[in-house]
Amino acid sequence: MNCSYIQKYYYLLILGFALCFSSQALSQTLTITGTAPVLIINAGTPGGQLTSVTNQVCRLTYGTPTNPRQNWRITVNTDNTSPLYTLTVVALNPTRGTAEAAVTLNSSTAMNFITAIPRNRTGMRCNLLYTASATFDQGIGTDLHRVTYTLLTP
Amino acid sequence: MKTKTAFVLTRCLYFLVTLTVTIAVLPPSVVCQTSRSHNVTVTVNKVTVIAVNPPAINLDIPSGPTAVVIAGVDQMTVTDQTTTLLWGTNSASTKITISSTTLATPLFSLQAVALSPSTGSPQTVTLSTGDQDFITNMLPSSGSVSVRYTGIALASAGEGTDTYTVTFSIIGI
Repeated sequence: MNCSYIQKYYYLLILGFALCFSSQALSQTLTITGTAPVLIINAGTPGGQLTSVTNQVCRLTYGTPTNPRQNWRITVNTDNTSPLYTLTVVALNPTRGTAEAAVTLNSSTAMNFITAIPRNRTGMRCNLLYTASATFDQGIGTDLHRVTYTLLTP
Repeated sequence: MKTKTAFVLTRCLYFLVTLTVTIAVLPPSVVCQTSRSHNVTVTVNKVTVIAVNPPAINLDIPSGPTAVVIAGVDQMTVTDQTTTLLWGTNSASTKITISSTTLATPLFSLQAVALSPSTGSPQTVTLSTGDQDFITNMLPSSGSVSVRYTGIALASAGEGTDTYTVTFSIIGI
């Protein structure tokens, strides 16, 4: 094998590695940071309802690869399909993508949470705004939710 | 030897190029997904709240619009039902009680009753010191009810004024 033969394909080799890197290195990422939210309702209005409480201590960080060449979305669901109280979540100020309307967490079916997330982006994030509400006639108790976020292609 | 090496290198190049092109043009139908979960807890503690409006009422005999004064009858009455009692409780087995300040020498008597509450059993109460049941057997609920006060005086007791401070409380049984 002579040198000119190697040099002939050397640039193709470099190009191949470059393309491989750009396609593979940016795989999708999804992380949740922050203390597990605990929402406690302990006040109400006479003749009215219990006072809703919110929690936004958690942050969702997400990244998308180059491929597939289409937008991504994040869905949310819970394992608690018969909660006593109402719990909703909405993406607060996502840096990329479109926050959907607040999702009521009472189903194991994945619901759209953030849509139109562009591909090939890293470090995108939003705060998770949870809101718990209840009525007096729902009584005293505790709901436990295992909330799952999924980053996927449409 | 040179030919064999060149062949292997060529194959490697073909492989890399093919792999790269394949990854670069992955069809849109390819589904990739990543999931993360965390726990969220919602707790509702015991909440009992109560309010009463307006802050003061007057029952006047004989000039009150509802005063009943009959010639030849010693007992006179007057009623007022402008008071609204509001509550909220998420506890089972709750009741509302009523109490008033102690009058050293009350001239007249004062009764109170809740008018058709949405939950519980209303009791007609003649105000005195100490808690008395006003609405019992309440379910976890939120609501409001009108309170009817009845002032009862005897013509033979003469003139005067009694001032009560009435307190409603919501308590678990």
